[in-house]
Amino acid sequence: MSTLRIRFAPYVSDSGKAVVPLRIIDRNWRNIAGNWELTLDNPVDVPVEPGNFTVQAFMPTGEVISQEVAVVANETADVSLEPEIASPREDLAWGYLLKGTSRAAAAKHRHTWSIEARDPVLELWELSYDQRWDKIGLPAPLQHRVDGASFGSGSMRTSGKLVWLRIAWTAERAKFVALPPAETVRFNLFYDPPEIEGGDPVNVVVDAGNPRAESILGYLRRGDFASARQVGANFTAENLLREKLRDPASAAIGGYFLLQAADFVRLHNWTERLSEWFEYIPDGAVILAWHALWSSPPDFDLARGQLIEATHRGLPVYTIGLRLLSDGLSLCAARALKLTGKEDSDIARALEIVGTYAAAADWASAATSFYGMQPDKPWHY
Amino acid sequence: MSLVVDRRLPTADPQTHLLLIAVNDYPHLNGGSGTPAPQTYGQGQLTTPVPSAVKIANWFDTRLNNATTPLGTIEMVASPGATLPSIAGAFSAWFNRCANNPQNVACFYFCGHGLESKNNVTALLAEDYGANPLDPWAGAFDFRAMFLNLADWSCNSQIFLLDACRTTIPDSLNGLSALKSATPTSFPPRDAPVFKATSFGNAALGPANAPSYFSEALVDCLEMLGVSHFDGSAWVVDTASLGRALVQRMYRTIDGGLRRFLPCDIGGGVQSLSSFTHVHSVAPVDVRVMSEFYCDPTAAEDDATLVAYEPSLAYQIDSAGELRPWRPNLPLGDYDLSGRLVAGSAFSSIAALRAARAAPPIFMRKLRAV
Repeated sequence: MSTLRIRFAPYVSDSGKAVVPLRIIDRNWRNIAGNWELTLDNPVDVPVEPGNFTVQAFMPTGEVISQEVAVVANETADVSLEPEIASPREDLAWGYLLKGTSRAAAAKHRHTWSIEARDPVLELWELSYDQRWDKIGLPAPLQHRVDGASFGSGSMRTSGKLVWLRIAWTAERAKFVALPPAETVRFNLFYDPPEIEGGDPVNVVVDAGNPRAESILGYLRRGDFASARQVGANFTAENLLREKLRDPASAAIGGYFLLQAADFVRLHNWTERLSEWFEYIPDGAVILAWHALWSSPPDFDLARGQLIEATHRGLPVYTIGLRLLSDGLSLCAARALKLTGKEDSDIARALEIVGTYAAAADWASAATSFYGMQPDKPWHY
Repeated sequence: MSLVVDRRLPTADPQTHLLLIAVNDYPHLNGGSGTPAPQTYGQGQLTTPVPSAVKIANWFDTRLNNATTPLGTIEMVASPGATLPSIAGAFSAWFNRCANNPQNVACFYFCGHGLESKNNVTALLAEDYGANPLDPWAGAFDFRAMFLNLADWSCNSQIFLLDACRTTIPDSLNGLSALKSATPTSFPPRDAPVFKATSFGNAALGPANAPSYFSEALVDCLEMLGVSHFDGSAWVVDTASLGRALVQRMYRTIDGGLRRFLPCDIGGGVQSLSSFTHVHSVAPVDVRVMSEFYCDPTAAEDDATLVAYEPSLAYQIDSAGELRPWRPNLPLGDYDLSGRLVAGSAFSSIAALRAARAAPPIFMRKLRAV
């Protein structure tokens, strides 16, 4: 037996625990059996028969890194996987490797160019119960501007509240991006030239500090369900849910993943606790609502109550949650009309609020993002 | 009569059923033969939907290779006559047909005008939109509501293809038909991806009187580009690999001699991560791998002709006259990659790569110029 020792070439610091799925193809185009994955800061040894192989790594950015390797009997061959798009700094690697500099669902090959936009103007807002918005000040000045790539990055503590970053790239154009509640949330404002003149040139990526959860989120956001499934097979989402005290944002990602996987056994009753223990996070209520709907039989009453509660709490931190909230409210509204012949006024009110934000949303963003100059007046340009 | 293909397979056997809706003519929109609707939202007549639907229908009729769920039927509603009642009738027939076996594959394709309302309704316009000025939306249906209401359908594999603009309008919409009005009573796992030709707020594009870019991409991905893995005899196209390939393929659209990064959207569906639907099988000789080769530094691109050569196939192509970066679709194989520079180039050579394997889903290499 021989061994392929596969490692990720760049040195990664803060994103080291992120996991990416691997596919190993032999000479006859068959996939090597096994659910192989690579943790970015640690090599993985894969036992193989002697021969020639192609190793592929599927990044959350959409990039597919591949490398050929030949290994003889009873020996170990090193495979070093090098991404095409490199981070200029190790501590910014999380943005380049896990999020991607472009909002495009596929990794776009980038040539170097100059930023043809002025620096965006930033503000911080807080969203509290019953959709109350308050401006809470300005973030610290951005750091690490990278010509041609990024306007800069920043970090802050957002535990215990729903904080939104307002980014205005002209005097008439702005958007709001959710910053997940975390001890340290990082954000990077990548320059992402729009296809349409006058469009939004800023790709805001955020990270709540859990690389494994953030990579799963990346796959789900891009619709790369094959990679999400492969990583999730060993994904300890239930551990995240157990650790929700420490990291509710990542627990929410775990909940979304298990919903998508229809893995209701692993969801247990943690969804109730996630919703109950963190009353300021709408995502927990959304996850519990859909867990209730997908139960057998569906608990429509519980779902209804949680969806309304989610709207009281604000807007989900993650775009997946906004989609589920919008769909759930639409279902409840239609169901009420069918069963009673009358409108459910609470649902209708919630749907009106959520619908306007959904219609102004940037659906390509992993963290919930909507366009508008004022947070209570969302509008898609 | 909208049933254009009927293989007359036993009803209980698993099979693929396709519903195509193609609306070119809008009498009550700009340029139409009828009275203009109260609100046209700047929309007019179209020429791509019918050619697009025909292209897809022909592919499924002549090329679909799926031993487990072979093609059963194709239902098509196309202009002239693609009114909401016609669409509803075809939808009902398709719905009932697909419900005969949970292993059936239901495929829904719409090409025509699409609008996104202020309250997040995705309205797809039928030919008779605006026919009744008192109720112009009687000629439209709510795709999102339709999708949600199909959650309890006894057909577990549902593929939705929306080849329509997603122009935003300032109005709120309520009460549109959902084609299936009964709300779901349960939510069993389903594989139900939604693939949209464009991102929110943007237009779906295509050349006049020809298939749309999205329909071209769809057929390319089904036929050769969207494979997932080799099962020992053929390469499998499943709903996960198809979505991933569509995104990449749409980014390779050539429009008027220019490369367009058209933003295909593969989110918004429901895909149970436990299993993906096997859509089609491709013979190894027919597989093509979306590839990209470029020079490092990129300044060498203008001086270089890149060459890809597969010895065992005696297959060689080069980048002369091609847009840069060079993006060929290559047969499966192991390629020697090299480049030659024009006389007088500031660069002296391009380092070659030997035996680089072109494997799905995409194959990228940079060639260093010195």
